[in-house]
Amino acid sequence: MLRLFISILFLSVLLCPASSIGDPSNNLNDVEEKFQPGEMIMHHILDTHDWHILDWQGHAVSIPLPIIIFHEDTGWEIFLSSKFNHGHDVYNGYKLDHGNIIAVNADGSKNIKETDKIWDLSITKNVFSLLLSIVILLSVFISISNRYKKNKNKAPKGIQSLLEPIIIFVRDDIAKSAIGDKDYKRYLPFLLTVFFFIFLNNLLGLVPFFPGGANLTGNIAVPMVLAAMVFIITTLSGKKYYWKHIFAMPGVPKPVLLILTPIEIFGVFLKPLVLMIRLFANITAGHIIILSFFSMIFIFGEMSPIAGYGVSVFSGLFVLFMMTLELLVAFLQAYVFTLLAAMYFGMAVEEH
Amino acid sequence: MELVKPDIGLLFWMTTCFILLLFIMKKFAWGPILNALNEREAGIQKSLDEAEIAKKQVEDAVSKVEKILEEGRVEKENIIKIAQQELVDYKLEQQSKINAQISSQLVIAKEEIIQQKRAAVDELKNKVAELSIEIAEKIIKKELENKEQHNQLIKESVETLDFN
Repeated sequence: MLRLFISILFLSVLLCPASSIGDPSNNLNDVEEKFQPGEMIMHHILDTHDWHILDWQGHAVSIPLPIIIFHEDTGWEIFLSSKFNHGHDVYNGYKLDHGNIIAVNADGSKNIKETDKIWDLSITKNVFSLLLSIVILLSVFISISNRYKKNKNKAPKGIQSLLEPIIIFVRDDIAKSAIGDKDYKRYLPFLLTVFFFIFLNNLLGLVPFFPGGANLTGNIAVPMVLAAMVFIITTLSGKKYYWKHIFAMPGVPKPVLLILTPIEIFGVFLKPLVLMIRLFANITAGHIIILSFFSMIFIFGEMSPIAGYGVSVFSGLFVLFMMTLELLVAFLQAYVFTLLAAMYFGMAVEEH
Repeated sequence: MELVKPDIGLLFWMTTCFILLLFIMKKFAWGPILNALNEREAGIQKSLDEAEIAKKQVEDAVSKVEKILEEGRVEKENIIKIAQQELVDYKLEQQSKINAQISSQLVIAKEEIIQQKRAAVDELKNKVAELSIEIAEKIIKKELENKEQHNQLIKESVETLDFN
């Protein structure tokens, strides 16, 4: 992957100055074509309704994705995002405005009242990536589970022997050690699924070309759903000992409880919140750093093409370094999220 | 702000898809995999235990064999000891038998010798008596010729007699 990545890095160095900066005679408006690193980075990190692959001679090349809109009055509407023509066209009274679908009036201005009635359930880039990762997870794990069923009590083979140590690691070093021998089995399927889901999507996010590159685990919605599930499971499995430690910490004087109990109750909500923010911030930050190094090439390239080529070498090396670091972070964040979730479950089921 | 504002669409898809994924994985992937892992671990543990038992059995058998060998050795030594004792006893017995025989034969021989001696003495006595009579005859005959000479002769004759 790295070799491919380096090849693409250098190829993009060759191509992009031509398309982004290009020949001034091709550009009608120099100000609009000026490279905006902030915009570029935000565009890559945020969700989009089409999968942008590259710009070719000033035209964006992208894969259209299905738009699914539920309007509270008129019901479902499903069409391809190519109908919007990258936000230039209006289709059926809808328009793409900076990544958001809005309802427009006949003159093209935003209709706020109608926009509020829209539920955008489109298969966006992130949803597509989510579905892809689910397909990968299901096919890989169901195929190895069949091998486990077929070759009972035999040594693992192929991808099975790659994943088995990780499964055993999650089981023994995360679930068993954090929850305890008695209860860990109930939580193991959730912990394993969360671990492999986060790990795979972190890795897919690092692949710089289609079908990777979507910032799924760095999109606030995904860690939010995962953290909410952790919160729900923790709260539902809380035993007497757990609640007693929140509302009336044993061995603490009554006046202190007045301060401690609100803090503990706040902590119950804070724990999943921190879980969410940690994953979101780590992955997003990694993407921003890598994209910032790329942006430097074009910032310097705008000054002079020679400076752009010169900086590209250093940027490339920095990106290489960051990419290897991000591979580690991809595993680490999956591990930390799973471990903390397991520890919260362990606290909830603890008994004395 | 766009960055930390969750999309309703992604929230919806993530929730439904992840719950689906969780249940499918639980039923079709994690269940069989974890079962197989547990079974394999139990199998390995069982094999190790069985190996331990088999090792112990072999050790028991070896110690039994050694015990039997030791018993055999002790028995052999006992038999040899008894046999040697018997041999010594037998030799002593034979020796004493021979001794007894020899001594009894000696006694018989001595008795015979004594008898023979007695017989010889008797015979000698008879012979002496006969000779005495003969001598007496001769002396008487000679007496009749020369008295002094006769006395001389008797004396001499008697002196020559040895009764041993």
